[in-house]
Amino acid sequence: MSQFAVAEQVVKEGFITLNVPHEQCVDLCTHMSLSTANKQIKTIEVKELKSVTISGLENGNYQANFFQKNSEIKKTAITFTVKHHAMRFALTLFILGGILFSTLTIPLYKLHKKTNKHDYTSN
Amino acid sequence: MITHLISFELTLAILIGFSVLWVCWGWYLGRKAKSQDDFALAGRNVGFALATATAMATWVTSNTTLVAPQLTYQFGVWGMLGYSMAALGLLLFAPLAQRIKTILPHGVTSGDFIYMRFGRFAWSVFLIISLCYALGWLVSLGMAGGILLSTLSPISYHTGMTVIITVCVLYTLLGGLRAVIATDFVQTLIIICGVCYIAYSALGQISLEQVHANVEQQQPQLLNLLFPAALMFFFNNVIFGIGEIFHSNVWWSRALAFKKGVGKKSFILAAMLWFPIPIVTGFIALSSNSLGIFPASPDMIGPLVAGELLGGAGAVLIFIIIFSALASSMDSLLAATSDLLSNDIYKKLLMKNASTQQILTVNKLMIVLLGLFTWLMSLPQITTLGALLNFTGAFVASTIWPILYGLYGNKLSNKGAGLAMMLGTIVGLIFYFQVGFYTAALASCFVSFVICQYFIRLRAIHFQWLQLKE
Repeated sequence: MSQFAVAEQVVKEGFITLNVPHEQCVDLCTHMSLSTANKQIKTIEVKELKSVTISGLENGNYQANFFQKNSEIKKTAITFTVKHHAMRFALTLFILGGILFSTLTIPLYKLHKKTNKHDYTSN
Repeated sequence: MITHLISFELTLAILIGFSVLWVCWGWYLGRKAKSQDDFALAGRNVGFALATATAMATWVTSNTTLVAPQLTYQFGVWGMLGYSMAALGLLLFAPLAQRIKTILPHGVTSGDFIYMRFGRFAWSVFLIISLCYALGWLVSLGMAGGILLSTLSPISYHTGMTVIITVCVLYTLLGGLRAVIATDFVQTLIIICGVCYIAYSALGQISLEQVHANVEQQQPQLLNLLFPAALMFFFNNVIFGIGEIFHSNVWWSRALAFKKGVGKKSFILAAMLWFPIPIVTGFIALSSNSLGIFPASPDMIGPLVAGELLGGAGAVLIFIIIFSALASSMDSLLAATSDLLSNDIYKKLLMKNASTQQILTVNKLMIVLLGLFTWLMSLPQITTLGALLNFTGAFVASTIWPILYGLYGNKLSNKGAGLAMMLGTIVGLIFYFQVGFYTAALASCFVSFVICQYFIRLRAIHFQWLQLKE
């Protein structure tokens, strides 16, 4: 069970842009650490950035802690949940895309060959 | 975080240098253009080398240089491959270009064909779609200019965006399509050489094993071939690219401007030259984690990583490449959209007896107004480049089938084509907002296909091709 009970946002693509809450850190937030319930994933430098984009996340509940290095007394946390689209839905659209693409290219090739031999406009 | 890799003075010098070069060249090439055919279609006499260069340069745009890294950063390997598959749009347009030139030897715009082949209803829907797409693309290019300058230099987003739009409007206005195609040729050379250099330098500086290990550990979904959103994105992007090229007057005007027999070969070669470019520009986004770069907005990732890898000189190179790519697309789009507005709306709806000179004047006025509109819409950065571009996917993907069945078949009716485009677009927009930007084109294309099939099989007409003879 996750320790982050309330997630503010649900992300379905594994990427998210977080606004850096500089006003809530002492002076400016300089770093952000990203963690899930079980482990710390990474700590990154945010310096004067107004926002930061992270991507490639797996399903799970995440917490982003913003803080000023050497002054970790005041932290600001943003929580969010990554819940990817259902695989069945994604595969359905993928296969549909493949079928549409084939349905487009095969007739296009045949029609082009046919019109090269016999131009409709001359009828 | 990398900021201000290029000094204010150097940025200004590059901007002024290239701006003066493009504008003067545009004026030089356009000074003999007296008729609308000269201005809008470069005298219908463009040879193989220029044709290939303009096809490729127009397709290398902010999409390729800024959005390909963005989509790789968001969708990983699928994003990179899916983006490069947009080359299929150019490849599949090759036979269409030949067909267009054969059946419309005196045509001016894609709207001309839709009007003659289908009639007023389908033409009205097509025009709305085409204008929404053109404006969306123009705004994305304006935004890309601002993002580029504000990422690499101290120049603000608004100043950068203003300068790039102004330069493109000026040289398109002075030179017409002839200037657009000629500048595209030089811009293509700059883009190919620059991208090759970046790839060479990047491979020398990044350890592929380390990049792979970092991504696997910290961004695992980017390497996952069963990443759901990326799976949906792949064919969506293929179809979006095909829709963009099939319907847009940017490509139709080129097909009509090229010499007879040139279009098919040049589009095939342009597709082959274009294919690796998004892979190179996209790949560098995967190394961002190893370099400790996390962008404020995902569309900034390309210039940030390239700047970090290549240093100040590299940033200048990136700046020149993207500036060239932006200019080569924005000028093409300005020229083609103004043709559509002056020929299809002004001539067909407002002034049926307009003289060539009047159309030419309106054409130039439209270029200025489009530039102004782009500037106004680019002022607020409403969304990321990728999301904005894919919004237009809902519109353009619905036109694929009506254009294909219109060019090669005689059974699809005016009502069928119009409804396919209209309902396809509506469903595409629903998917855009309800599911995600990476599904809009797919949904739109599917609905349009079903409607076209219904009308072809159950409500077929027998269009007489002689009606297309002008």
